[in-house]
Amino acid sequence: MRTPLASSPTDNPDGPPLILDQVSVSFNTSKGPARAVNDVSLTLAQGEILGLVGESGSGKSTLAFTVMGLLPDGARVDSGQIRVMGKDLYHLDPEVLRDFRWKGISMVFQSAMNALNPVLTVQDHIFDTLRSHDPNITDEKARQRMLELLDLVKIDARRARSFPHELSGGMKQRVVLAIAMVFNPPVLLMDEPTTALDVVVQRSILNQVREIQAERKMAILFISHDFSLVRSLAHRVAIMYAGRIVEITASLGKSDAHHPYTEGLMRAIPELSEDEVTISGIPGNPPDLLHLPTGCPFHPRCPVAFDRCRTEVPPMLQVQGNLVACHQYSRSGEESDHGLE
Amino acid sequence: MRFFLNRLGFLLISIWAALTVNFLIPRMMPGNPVDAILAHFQSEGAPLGPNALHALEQQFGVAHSSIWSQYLGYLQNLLHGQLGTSITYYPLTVTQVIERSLPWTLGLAGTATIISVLLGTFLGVYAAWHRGTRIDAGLTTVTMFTSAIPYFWIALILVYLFGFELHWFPQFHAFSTLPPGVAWWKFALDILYHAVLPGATIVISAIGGWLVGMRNNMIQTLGEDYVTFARARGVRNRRLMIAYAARNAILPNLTGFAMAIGFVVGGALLTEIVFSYPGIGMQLLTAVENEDYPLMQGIFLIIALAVLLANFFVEMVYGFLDPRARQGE
Repeated sequence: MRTPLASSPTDNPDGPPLILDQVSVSFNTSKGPARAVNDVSLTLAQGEILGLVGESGSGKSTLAFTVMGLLPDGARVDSGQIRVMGKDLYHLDPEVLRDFRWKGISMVFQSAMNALNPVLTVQDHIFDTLRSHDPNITDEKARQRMLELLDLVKIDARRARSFPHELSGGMKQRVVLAIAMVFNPPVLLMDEPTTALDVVVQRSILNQVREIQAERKMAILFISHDFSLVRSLAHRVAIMYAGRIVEITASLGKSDAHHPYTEGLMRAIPELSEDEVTISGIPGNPPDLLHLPTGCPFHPRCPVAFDRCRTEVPPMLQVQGNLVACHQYSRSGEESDHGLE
Repeated sequence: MRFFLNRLGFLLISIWAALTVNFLIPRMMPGNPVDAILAHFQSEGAPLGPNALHALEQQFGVAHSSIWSQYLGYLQNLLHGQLGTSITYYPLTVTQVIERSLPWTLGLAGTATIISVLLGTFLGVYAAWHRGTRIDAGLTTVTMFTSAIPYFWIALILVYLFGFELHWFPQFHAFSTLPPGVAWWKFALDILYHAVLPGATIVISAIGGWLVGMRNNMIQTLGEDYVTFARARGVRNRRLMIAYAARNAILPNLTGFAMAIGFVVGGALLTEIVFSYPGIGMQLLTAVENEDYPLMQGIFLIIALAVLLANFFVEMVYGFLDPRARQGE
């Protein structure tokens, strides 16, 4: 077994801000355990935006909650290790973890609509966050920090007294973003931060994220099901399928060597500039997490699957600068352009 | 402020509607109190003369004028706090009878209701926070059981066990006859002593509903994203439990609380009867037994007013607790 991290158990705060090493998570269901995250290894470099793309149920959000140490009841980390700024989150004292969260790593939730407590104002939310980590902070200091944050996300300071239901969807998401930036954490998880918003608001929020990231240089794990959106934002994109990372690719890379699933995703993006729009879906459905296929989880839907795919889980391979978990790239002695165009 | 005026206007209109219905219903029923008294005297073998009849008609306001002028007179009397004369307690007025029994009911049922709401809500929060544990299962099961028992039966059992068999508590009445000049605190203790069993009856039968309601609401809010988000932000458990989960979970329960406070005045009817407690519920029973229409009408009016006022009060609290309600329609 490959153990590059276990060999260096000392906390190393100067290494990559976020490291996931062979992390597996499963949920207890009435029909047995369901693997939601399967042997995921990822490294987030300082100042990097890593996109994480996958369809619903592929384990993206579970992965984010795993990294935060906020898995719901009934879910557990079966194996692997998570290090944020060199700290192993799952071996921290609960009180240390409570304080470390948000200072070391924070998260923008998928549903900004529901992420704010309906009976508290914007100011209450920010003050709560500040006071939870520094009970002795003065009102004056807290207010000052709040004004900085509201300015950062371009929200009028008068909105501090507003309740969530008095804000638009975009404003709520900005407030959530401001709350995530309270302590300038080195790592920020964004779980579908723009999914519930219309494209105009989506664009302005993404621009804001870009600006803040350029200024503060935090590492961002950006989760989305929108492949083209992620490609325009992230430096690298990880593609998740049935709980596994099947490919990690440079978003602007010229490589054509992709996982067949990634190929399928790319074909599903309409190109507005073309005269004739031809999009095609991927036939079949995502697998049942209770009964994952043997071998490569994608093989039942894969147009280029062969015998080995049905029996053996493909390892991550370095292919033209990308990391791809597909057997077709390890078939030696055969033609290298099998069926891919 | 607009919210307040809005609700106040609604309150006034509801009160007017209640008064009007209260005026109309007895007039739609056949007979009148004077006929009842007449029949009473006749059956005793002492028929009344026309003069006496006229005097009684005057006294009970049996008018032969138009319904409209009766209505205006009724409203005018109400403004002066006059609800007519009680038949049962003649020559006491209805207002006097209610004045004497209302404090007992408010003291007993009011206190018991507030205790069961506070205790039930608190235990509900506790059970929800520790959901799935034995404490949760135990609390929920026991209170589901107690709230399923009819409350008059609980009252009977308590009287039998702790009053009749064990003599720990008095079996009935709100106070005992004490020698004159006894210290006020002795009297207060005596009242408290008499209130234990009927109060316990109300608390035992009501607490389950509050506990289970609060627990279920709170389990729902604990699953909300804003709770997870707050936990992620490092918000401490105590604040998470109170300001995030319980604060939102209590909102639906407030409506129930308004109803319960309103019904307090109606009295825990059967509890008061079992314990011969001199409250409004007991008076209502007496009024019904004696066809004492003025008293019944007065009591119904007080109950209606109590429900409306309690609702108004809780709406104000609701507006304070839930910023969304403040905007109103």
